[in-house]
Amino acid sequence: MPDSSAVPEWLRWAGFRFDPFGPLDAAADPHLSEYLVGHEAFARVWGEGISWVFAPAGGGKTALRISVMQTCWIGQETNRPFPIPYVPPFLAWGHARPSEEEHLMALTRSGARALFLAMAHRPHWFFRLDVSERQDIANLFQWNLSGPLSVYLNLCRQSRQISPLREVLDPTFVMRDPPDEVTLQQWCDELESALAFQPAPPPAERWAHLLAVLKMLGFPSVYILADGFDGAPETIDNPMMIVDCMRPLLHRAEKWAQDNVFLKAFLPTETFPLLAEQFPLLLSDHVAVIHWTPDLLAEIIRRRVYVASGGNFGSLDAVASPALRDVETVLARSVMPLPREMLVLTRQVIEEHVRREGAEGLLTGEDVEAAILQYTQGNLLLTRTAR
Amino acid sequence: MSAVQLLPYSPRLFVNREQELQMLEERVQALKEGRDGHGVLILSGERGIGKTWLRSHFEHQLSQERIPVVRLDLKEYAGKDPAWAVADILQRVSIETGGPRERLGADLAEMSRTVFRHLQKFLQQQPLVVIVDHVYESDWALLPLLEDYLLGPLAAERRVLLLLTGRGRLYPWKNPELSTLAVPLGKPELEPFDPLFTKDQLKRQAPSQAHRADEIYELTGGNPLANYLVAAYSLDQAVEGLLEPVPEERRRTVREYLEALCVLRAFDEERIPDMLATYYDDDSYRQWTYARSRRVREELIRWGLARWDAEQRGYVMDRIVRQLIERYLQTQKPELWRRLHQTAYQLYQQWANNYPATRERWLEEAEYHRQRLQEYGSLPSRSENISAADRRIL
Repeated sequence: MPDSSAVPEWLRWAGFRFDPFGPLDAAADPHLSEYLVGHEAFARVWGEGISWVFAPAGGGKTALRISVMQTCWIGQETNRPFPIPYVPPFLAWGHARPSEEEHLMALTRSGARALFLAMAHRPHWFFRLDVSERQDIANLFQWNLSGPLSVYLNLCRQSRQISPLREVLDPTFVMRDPPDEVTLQQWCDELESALAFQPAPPPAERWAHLLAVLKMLGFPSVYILADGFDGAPETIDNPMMIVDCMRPLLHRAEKWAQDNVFLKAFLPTETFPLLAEQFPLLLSDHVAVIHWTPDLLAEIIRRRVYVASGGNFGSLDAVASPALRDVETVLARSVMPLPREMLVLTRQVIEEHVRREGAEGLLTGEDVEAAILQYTQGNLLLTRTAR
Repeated sequence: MSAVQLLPYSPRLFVNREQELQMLEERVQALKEGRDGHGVLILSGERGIGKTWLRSHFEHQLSQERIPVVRLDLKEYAGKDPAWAVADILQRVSIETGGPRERLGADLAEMSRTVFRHLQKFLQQQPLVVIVDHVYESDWALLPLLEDYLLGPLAAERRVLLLLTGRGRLYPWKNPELSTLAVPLGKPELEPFDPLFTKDQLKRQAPSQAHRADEIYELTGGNPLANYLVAAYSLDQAVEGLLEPVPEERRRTVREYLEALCVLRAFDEERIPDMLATYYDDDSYRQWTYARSRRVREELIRWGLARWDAEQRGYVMDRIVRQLIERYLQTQKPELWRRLHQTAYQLYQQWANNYPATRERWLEEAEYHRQRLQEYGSLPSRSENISAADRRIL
C-alpha cells in the first residue's frame, strides 16, 4: 500500500494551494462552494422557486445541499435566503409515514436550530431588535430547540466560543466571522433576559411563528433544503415510501412558494418518475437529474484542480508527462460512476506517484495504471473504511 | 525607440459596442425606475479588446444621467495585504455613498456591517452602479475577502448594478449572483471589431492611416487596441504597447519569453526549456528544472498574457499578443522564427516517437509546424520530415 505522507509535499511542488482530493466528506471541505457553484444543478436549485435534485445514492446530493446552505450564509446581513436544512428525524418519529404536523414540528425545530446558530454568529441581528421582537426570538428558541435555551447559552458562556454549539446542534454549519468573547457573552445575557417563559403553542402555530420571525429579521425568502429521505430502513430501497413520506410537504409546497418559502428537495433518482407522475405541476420546472457520466466525473477533478491551483491550470495534464494526456477522462472511465470514487482514485494516482518517484516529478502513465489496478482490486475502499 | 502612448478614452473617439451599451442602458433605466435592473454584469475579453473604453463610455453616460457610480480598480491593490486592501475598499465605498469616513469597525466583518447599514439608507434615495476593474487579474487571496465583505452582499442588493471587468482566470465565486447568474456583456466575451468598425475606428483615431484599414484588420483581427497601435506605430512598438500592463523592469524579459513561445499553439513547463534554448541560442536552458520553467509560465499568467486552455490541454498565449509577436518575428527576425518552428517541430516529433499513448496528438502538433514552415518556404530538412506512416495516422 503506498505511503501517502509525501502527498501534501507533491501537491505543493505541483502548484496546488491545498489538497482538493483529500476531504471525502463534503461538510468538512471548506472549498466545497467554490467547486460546486457553476455546477448546472446548483444553478437549478438557487433562486425563487420550488426545485428538485435527483441523484443516485452517494451521487452528491448532500454536498449540493450543504453548498446551497453555505451560499445562503455569505455576508453579514439578512438580505439572502434563510436555509432550513431538513433531514427527517426518522429515529425520533419511530416510523416513516409522518403527518403534516410531525413534518411541521421537525421543520420548525430545524429552522430554530439554524437561526440560533446563525444568530450566535451575527448577534447584531438581535441587538437591533426592540423588546417584543427580542421576546419573539427568545420564545422561538425556548420552544423549538431540543433542550432548554439556557443549556445552550451556558455552553456558549463556558466555552466562550461557538464551536461547541455547532458540534451539538449541527456540525455541518459553516459561517465565518464569529463574534468576539465579549459580544458573545452580551448576546447570551440579553437573549436570556428576553425570555418570557410562555407555554409553547401547537406545531402549526410554531411554524408560522418561525416564518414571521424570519420575515421580521429581513430574510427575503426561506429555502427548505430537504435531504436524507432515504435514510430510514423503510425508505432506503423504497422510492414509493419516500414519496409517501414527503407527501404532506408536497401538498403544502405551492402555498409556501406564494409566501416565498421554497421547498428544495434532494432525492434519490428512483423517486423522479413517481413524483413526476403524481405531482406533475410541482415538477414542471427547476429539475436537475444528476447522471454521473465519465465526462461529468472528469469535470469534477478539473474544477477542483482549477480552484486548488489558484486558476493557473484546469487539468492534471498540466502536471503530467507528455506521455499522458486527458488524465481525468482516463480515470473517469475506470471508476464506479460516483464523485467520491473519482476522488479516491485521483488521490490514489498521486499516492502511487510519490511512492515511486518521491514528492516531485510529473505524473506518469505508470502512476495511473498502478492506481487503477489498486482500485479495481478493491483494496482502496477497504483500506479507507478501516482508517 | 520612442515610448508608446496609448490613446486615452474620449467620447468622440469611441466607436461600436451598440449592443453592449444598449444592454447597459436598459439595466440602468430599470434601476432608475425601481424595476429589476440589479444584478451582476461581466465585461471580459482579450488584451486590448476595448474593456476600458467601453467601461469609460458607460461611466460617461452614467455621469450624464447623474447616476451615482463607485469605481474600484483592484490593480491599485496588487501586492498589498488582502485584509488591508478590503478595509481600504470598504472605506472608499462608505465615503462615496455618504457613510462614515473613519471608525467603520474593528474588523472587516464590522466594517462591512457599517458600510451596508449606511448603504441601505443611500439606496432608499437612489440606485447605485459599482464598477470593479481588473477583477480576474487580482490575487486570489484578495477576492474571497472582497466577496464575503463587499461583492457578495452588494450582489444581493436590489438597487445595485455591479459591473466586473477583467481578463484572465475566472475566479470561482461562491455566490451564484457573481458566477452562474452573472450576465456577460459580449458573446460571452467582448469581440473584436469587424472590418467596417475597424475602418471607422481608424478614421477617428488615426485618420492618416485609415486607408490601411484592410491591411491592419488582416493583421489584428479587429482588436481595437492593436488596430490603433499598428496604425500609429511600428510593429515592434505595437507589441510594446500591448505589453503595457507588465511593469517596465520586467517587460523586456517577458517579451523575450513571449517571442520564444509565440510559435506554439500551446505550451507548458516541458516545452519552455527547448524553446528558450533556441531563442537564446544557449543549450543550458535545456537543463532548466520544472520549477524554473514554472516561474516563466506563472509570470505570463500573472500579467494575463497566457492562460490554461481546456481544449488545447496546455497554456495558450493571449490571442492578439501571440499574433502580433509572431508576425513581428516572422517579418523582422525571420531566421529566428524559422528556428523556433523547427525546434517545435523536432520536439513534437521526438515526443511522438517516445510516447506511443499520446503519439497522435504530438504528430498533429508537428504537422502544424511543418505546414507553417512550408507556407513560408522553410520546410524542415529531409530527415526531419514526418514519415509516410505517420502521415497516414494524421
